[in-house]
Amino acid sequence: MKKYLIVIFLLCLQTITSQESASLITLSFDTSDLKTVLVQIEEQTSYKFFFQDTWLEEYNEMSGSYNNLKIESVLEDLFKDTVINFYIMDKGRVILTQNNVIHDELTEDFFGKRVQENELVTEQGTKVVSPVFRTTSRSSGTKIETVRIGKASKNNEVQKLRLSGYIKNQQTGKPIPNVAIVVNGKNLGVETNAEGFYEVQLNKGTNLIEFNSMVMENSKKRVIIYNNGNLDISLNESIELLDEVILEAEINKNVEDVVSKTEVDVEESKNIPLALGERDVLKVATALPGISTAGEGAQGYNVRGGKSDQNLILLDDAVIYNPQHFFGIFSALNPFALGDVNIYKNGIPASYGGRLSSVFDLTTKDASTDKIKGEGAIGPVTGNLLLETPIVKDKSGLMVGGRGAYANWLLNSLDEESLKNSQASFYDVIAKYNHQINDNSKIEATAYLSRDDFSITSDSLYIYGNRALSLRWNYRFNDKNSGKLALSSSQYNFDIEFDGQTNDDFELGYRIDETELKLQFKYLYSDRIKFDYGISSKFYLVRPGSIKPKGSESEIVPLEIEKERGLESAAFISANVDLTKKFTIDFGLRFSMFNALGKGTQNVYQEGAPRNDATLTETLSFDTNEVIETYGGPEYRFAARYLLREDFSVKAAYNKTFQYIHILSNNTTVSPIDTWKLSDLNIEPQSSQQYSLGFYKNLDNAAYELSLEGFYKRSKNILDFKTGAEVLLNENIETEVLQGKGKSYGVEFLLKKQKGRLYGWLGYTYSRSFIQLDSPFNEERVNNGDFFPSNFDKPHDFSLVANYKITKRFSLATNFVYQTGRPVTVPIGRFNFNQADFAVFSDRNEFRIPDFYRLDIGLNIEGNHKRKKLAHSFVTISIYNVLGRNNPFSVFFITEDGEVKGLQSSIFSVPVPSITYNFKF
Amino acid sequence: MTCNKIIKAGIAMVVSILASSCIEPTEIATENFENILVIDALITDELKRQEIVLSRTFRFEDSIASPEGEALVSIKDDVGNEYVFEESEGGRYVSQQEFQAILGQEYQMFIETTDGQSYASDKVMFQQKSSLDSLYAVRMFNDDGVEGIGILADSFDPTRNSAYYRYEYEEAYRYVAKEWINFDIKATTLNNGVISITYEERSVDKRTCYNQVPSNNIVINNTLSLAEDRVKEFEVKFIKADDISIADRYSILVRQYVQSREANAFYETLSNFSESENFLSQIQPGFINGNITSTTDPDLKVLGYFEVSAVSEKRIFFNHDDILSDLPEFRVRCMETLVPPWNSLFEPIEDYLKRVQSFVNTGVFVLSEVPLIPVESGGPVFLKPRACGDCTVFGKSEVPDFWID
Repeated sequence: MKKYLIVIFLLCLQTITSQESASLITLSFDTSDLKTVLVQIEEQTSYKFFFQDTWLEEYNEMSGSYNNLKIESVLEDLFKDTVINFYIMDKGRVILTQNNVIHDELTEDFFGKRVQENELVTEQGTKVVSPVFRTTSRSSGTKIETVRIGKASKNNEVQKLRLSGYIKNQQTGKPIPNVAIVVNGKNLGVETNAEGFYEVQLNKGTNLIEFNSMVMENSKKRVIIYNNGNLDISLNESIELLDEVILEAEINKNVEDVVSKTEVDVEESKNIPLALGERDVLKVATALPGISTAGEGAQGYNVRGGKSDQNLILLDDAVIYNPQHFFGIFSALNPFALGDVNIYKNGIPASYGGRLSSVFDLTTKDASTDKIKGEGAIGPVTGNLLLETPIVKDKSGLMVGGRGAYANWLLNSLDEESLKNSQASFYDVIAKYNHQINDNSKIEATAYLSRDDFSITSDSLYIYGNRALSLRWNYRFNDKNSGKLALSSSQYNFDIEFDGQTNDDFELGYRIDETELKLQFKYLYSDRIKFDYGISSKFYLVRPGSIKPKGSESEIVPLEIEKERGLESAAFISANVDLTKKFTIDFGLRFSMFNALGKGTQNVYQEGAPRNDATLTETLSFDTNEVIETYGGPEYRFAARYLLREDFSVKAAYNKTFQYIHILSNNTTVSPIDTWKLSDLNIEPQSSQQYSLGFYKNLDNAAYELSLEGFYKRSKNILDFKTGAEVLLNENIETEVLQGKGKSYGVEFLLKKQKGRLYGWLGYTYSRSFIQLDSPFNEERVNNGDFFPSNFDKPHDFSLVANYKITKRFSLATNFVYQTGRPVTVPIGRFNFNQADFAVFSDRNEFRIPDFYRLDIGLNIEGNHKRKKLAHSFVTISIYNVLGRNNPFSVFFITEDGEVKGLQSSIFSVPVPSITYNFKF
Repeated sequence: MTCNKIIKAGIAMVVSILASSCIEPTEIATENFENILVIDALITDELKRQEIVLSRTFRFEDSIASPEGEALVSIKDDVGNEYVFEESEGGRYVSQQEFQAILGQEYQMFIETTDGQSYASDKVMFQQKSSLDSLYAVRMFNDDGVEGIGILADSFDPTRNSAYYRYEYEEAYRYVAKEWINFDIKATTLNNGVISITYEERSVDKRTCYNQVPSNNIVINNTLSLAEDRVKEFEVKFIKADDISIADRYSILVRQYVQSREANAFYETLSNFSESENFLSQIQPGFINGNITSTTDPDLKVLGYFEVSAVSEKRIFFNHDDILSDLPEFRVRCMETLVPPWNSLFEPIEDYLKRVQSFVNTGVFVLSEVPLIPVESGGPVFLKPRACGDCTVFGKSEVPDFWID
């Protein structure tokens, strides 16, 4: 009973009798109405016509002349330009129908199959002529107007019909541009142009068409299309827009993408409970397979067994060296400003380079160009406010956001001795200007600044900060070609100020600056072949450290380690080719080159001997911009996808990457005062190769996304240090550096549920990460030159993120994380030296700290949904580490009063409740 | 070092990042113990019988390092002298004759152990003299804002050849038992089972004692970043105002060694690995290679360092009241303890005497005053913590040779 055939039958018909004869017709008329013509035919012949007057009303300027023609021919010609069909029954009765066609036999698929748009989607499908039967759903709540377009013809084999028309504003009569035409819930990407004209391809039959516009009331029409036709629409101005219209495009995108990327839903991340109620998009990313941190208080991210300096973190194309505040506990990126967060860890597009493991491509959202908007949050530790304002209406807008921590005075007011001398404060600000010059040209400018101050003892203060600027110009040359020019500049710096009681008070500073110009083009050669190509060049200037006296009594001699300069350039091209409908490859080639530039000196050491003062043979001097050393090579980026089914694919990727800049850290985890060093005569670039294979499957109309992916990665020249190396202000750092091999592999599983009241994901990764530091010389060897687990090797990593919408206003969120404890180096005994006991450390990373697990719970309460109110608000109440698990962060051994003691530290050892108030207007 | 797990309501919640962070002790069990030779060898420019200490690594479960005995130890210089060492006590080797390091000469150490392994050090040049110019005590606050006394050192090398310094010290202090009286109580059980209470003279030696404590931490410094080799107000040691060592009179002997860069780096690494500067960012520990290697098996691990250093020393004395007269000094709480008195109605006197005896024999107490009523007839006995009346709790009564009152 789901469907039934409606044939328009003889309803209140005017009957006109006529003689029964199969005579030929001779007729001629000029600008007469159709009804009159039919009456004339009835007069001449015995045919009788059955129709409704209203159907014929619009055809009143008919002209024609027929000579001795059969009735079929006459009627065919007569109704040619109308939507009227005819059916000649026996006894000379002619039944006219509007739009529909009367079939005198049932079609093959009448009983068996549902006549549905899905089946007709196969464009060059079967040659079966599928007639249009109207199917209606009984449970349609709102009344949707049904419109019939075109005339059905019996032998119309065309499956795709064209519907075009104009969309006007009901009130003003003006055309409305940019109205999205959504067909059967699918956004085909069709919009009205500036004149309000649209044209859309529809499948023959019933189509539910939505006309969606940001400024107008949306409209829905049920369009029964029989043939190409025209539909003009008038839309009412929208009175109130309650929420954004969410257009779901390309539901199987994750399956179809050739270069798979990890996307973090910025909007959704607000529901995930995090420490102290702070929204942190990147921390959400660490709940996804393959991305982790060394621990709760560890800075940086480890992607697929890579060190934390191997991630290219871009904010609007500018590199952010340290996207975290306060030892990685808070994100340094304003969550309100972010638009898209894409992470490439599997296949890295050829347009990115310079880091081995991943690309975190973060882009800010565009500032509003039509009205003033704002968003803010007040949490226990920080406050955050972001404002957007149009500058030129509908063309340009400005966004300014700022975030700061105000926990400092509270820290000092605590009567906890160990905290008395601590202080921690930070802030970050972001500004963005976007200007749509015309349809083809758009300019965006972004400025970002962050700063952290912290001190652990009363006499030293640590300050670090990022600065990033970028200017981007997007230009569309024509339908096939578009380009982007990006100029970016980034800086990272830190300072240590020591103000003690003696004569050695100092200020120590480090700074790295980089400026990049990147030109990138996209060329759509055809539907099946797309190119992406471009060039980029980046100039580095590193001031590795300087120390100067602080105060007049200080006897510190100013010292400055030689500046380092380098130029990293690349040319890249990639082609995305659909070999068949199912098999697509993306082949990229990036040729990168690094020039270490003078001015400076470089030490040359004896070949085949460990590098130290004794094996130093000569020191070379280089002039400004003289090339010290050139490194480089081709980086192949290959990705392929084969669609096993529409919602099931297999993907493979191969990546080769080079990295010319390295973090120097002799700590087990990275800290903000670790310096970045450029490759030079003695320090070679790092390189890596990754192979991966994965399966992607969507279930239940993409309500569930399932993926399983394996990877294997080898890297070379990974930087490490000799035991006890002094890194800061070391003029001959190469004597302390070890370069070794890296190896990692793993399997990542992800199940995501996107729809429904309960949504979230479950991820599990089994992966290993190893490093090998081998050398013929004992002093340059670690763990006998064998592979050993890296500091962030955590074989099992399980995370569950689940949100449950209880009502429209209340939603509950929970997080659960389980990870194998990370490796640590523990003593193999102790020894007595200089009247004290010390721990003897042996092989690195042989032991593990206890496993990590944590459960967080959060409750989101949305403000009321009254129409007239100042701002939309919501409150997040969360408890971090509900189980109160004392997860050790590190284990270490100190000598106190001549005795060795083992200690373990943890960051959040108790449940941490917090409440955050967010508002938006 | 205990974890303050009690989150103070209100503001503490707000700053719980730090409040709930905690460091707590953890059990250490020795895994994969390795038995490694440890060499502690320091040759100075003092003319004396030089000393080298050999021991073995030991497990955390064990309390003390096992000495390495019966080894052959010798030092050769580059002018053809060989100094042979002989074992004096377990693991301690002293040179057969007195000698001193001479400027510009190179020294190398050789060791053969009973397990057949041979070790040799790198050649070490003796390069620089040391001069500790002054040593003084200053009233100051430490980094945690606690008031006390800082022992500061000044040193200057006009030749600009010294850059790395290491300090060792030996503290000595006098302690006076403020409530010393000249009687002690004794409770002995006689053969017939009767408890006899006697009084005997308490030695005057128990009134004033001296204690000596060697340094057991690594104190290093360098003048690398300074315009000249001038050590100024370098804090060798900080003593909190209420520390026992400065309760009365205090003395410290500081020895300043001028080190080579390599030796300093060794000590620095050792020190870095054994302290926690910042628990959020932990230095990567590992095996510390010194300047000694095995000649029989290059892969054999050996710990320690052969150092040839110049030394100079200074001793200072001061009294608590000279510097900290207005601050409270270390005090033992001398509360009187009364042995639960005899209840003449319900218990025989023997029980009371037994009680007195059990108190006296703990060794925790000394007599506070001689009882007026004889104890045998139930007189009350007043006692005090031992430290109040007997200084030997904290030291020895012999006056050290160097002591100046």
